[in-house]
Amino acid sequence: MPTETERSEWEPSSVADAETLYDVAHARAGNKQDISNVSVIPYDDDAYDDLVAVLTPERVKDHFAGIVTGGVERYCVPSVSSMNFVLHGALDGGWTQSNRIDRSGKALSTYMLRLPLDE
Amino acid sequence: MVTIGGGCGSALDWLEPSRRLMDEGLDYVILETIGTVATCRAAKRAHQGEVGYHPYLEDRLELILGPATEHGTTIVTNGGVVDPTGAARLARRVARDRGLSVQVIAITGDGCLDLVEARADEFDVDVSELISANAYIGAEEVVGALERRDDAYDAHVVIGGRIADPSLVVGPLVHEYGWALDDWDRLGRATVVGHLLECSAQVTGGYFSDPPRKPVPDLHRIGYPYAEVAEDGSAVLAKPDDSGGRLDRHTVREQLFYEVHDPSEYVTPDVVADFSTVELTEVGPDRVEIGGGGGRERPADLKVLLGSIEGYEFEKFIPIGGPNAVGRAEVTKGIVDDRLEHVFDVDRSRLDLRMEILGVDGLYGDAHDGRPDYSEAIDEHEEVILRVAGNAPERELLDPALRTVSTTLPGPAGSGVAIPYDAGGITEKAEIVPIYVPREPITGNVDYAELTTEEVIERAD
Repeated sequence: MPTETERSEWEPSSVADAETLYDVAHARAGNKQDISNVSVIPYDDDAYDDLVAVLTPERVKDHFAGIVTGGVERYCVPSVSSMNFVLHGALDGGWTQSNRIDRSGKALSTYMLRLPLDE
Repeated sequence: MVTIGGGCGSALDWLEPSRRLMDEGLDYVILETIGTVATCRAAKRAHQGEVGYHPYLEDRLELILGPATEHGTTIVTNGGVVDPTGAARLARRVARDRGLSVQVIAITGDGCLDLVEARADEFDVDVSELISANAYIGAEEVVGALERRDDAYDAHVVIGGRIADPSLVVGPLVHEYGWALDDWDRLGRATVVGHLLECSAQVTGGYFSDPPRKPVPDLHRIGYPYAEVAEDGSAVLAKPDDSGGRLDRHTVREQLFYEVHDPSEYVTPDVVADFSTVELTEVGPDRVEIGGGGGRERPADLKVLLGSIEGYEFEKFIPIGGPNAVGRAEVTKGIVDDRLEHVFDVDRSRLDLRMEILGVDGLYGDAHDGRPDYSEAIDEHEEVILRVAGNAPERELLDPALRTVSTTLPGPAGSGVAIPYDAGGITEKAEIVPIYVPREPITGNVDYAELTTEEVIERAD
């Protein structure tokens, strides 16, 4: 476990300075049939507009290439400074069909956070 | 002000914190217990002569009926799964055995297998393998049960089957405030609150911790959430004092879109709720005000989940350690492939077999950049687990694969025994398919059952 000091020392980066999405945002994944939704939430509301500019559906689709076989939709909700991505064909057929060890795709949230921002 | 707690978010949830919710003296505590394949699996159990509700229900009732009667809390739950009447009977028996004054009302009628079978052509479904069909019913049906509450009892339990998760919260609010069932904005706002409560600890820091970025204090004694809901449907979300976890804008925002697609169109039996205008304000320590939100007219059709048992699956784990563990896991994968093709002559097009090296490419191996450079992985990983999982329509297709994997000899050096270590492990697969059915024939079949003590005694014996 990190100490309280370590916790308090961590600050989110700006989108411009971040290496990956993990440095500026957190995420949660949910599953329905063969669709995963991954919400992306910046630690700092001021980073929201920069993230909207960078995190296009195309970029997210490219990041998930191989895992997600269908289209990617993005919903932006400024009132809570959050984005919701809907990933079609993300779950190897869905909970009942999937052979993946993570059959509900919970770990797709943390895969989203690996998305590089320094390119 | 109506207070409602989220006392359970899944069939396997830890229930001790929901007791703490009742100690807050809440008006209602909801228990949401039905996952995606739960109705299908429960129907299968019921067909085999076991109970059609979750086996944990009895322990839960034992734990919470006492505090509920002490504080006058009404429990609303979909814990009956495919047998609300049987679950109600159980609740009455638990209450009676403990000398508690509890009225139990069952909501029946969401199970609609007969209807789907009779109108299979119209719904375009093959009913030959179906074992369950359950409609998502809503707040209106919960209100119908709450109207039957008798003040002479110290506590009340409403037990239904496939009640939509947020409707467990919307129902009590409609009942308490007398909202019209077409007051779409209020129903939409109540649905936001219900959505945030129905997964219980997922909004109070459960499933959130990632220090140092996202520390969550005292997860081992996490507090479950409750809402103080105003007459306009706005609410303050809170958790019991001195409980673990955290509740702030960050935890609420993670849960807000959980399993939501278009935030402006969250469809429930009650309303098409609009989450896209929700506003969150931290109004105190572990207190978040939920404002905004709204809704539009409810859908004409109800979603019905069709359940069947189709096909088989198995999963095996082979631990491999020491230098070059990854390279030797690859050898094992090759043995499985070669043996199925050249020895057993298996039709691989009908067998969905998957092999993952856990610790290397188990979670993200399908991604174009997920598979690591193997020369690097070989150096870095001295302990891996080869996971082999198979799906097939017929059991016979899985047997050779399972037997191949079960005998890791003659495999590479340093492989451990496959887990499970015997040849067992092939299980039936539950399949769930949603269809949409006009609501009238289903809601017209909803009924309410309150069992007398005599009936309880007779059937329990």
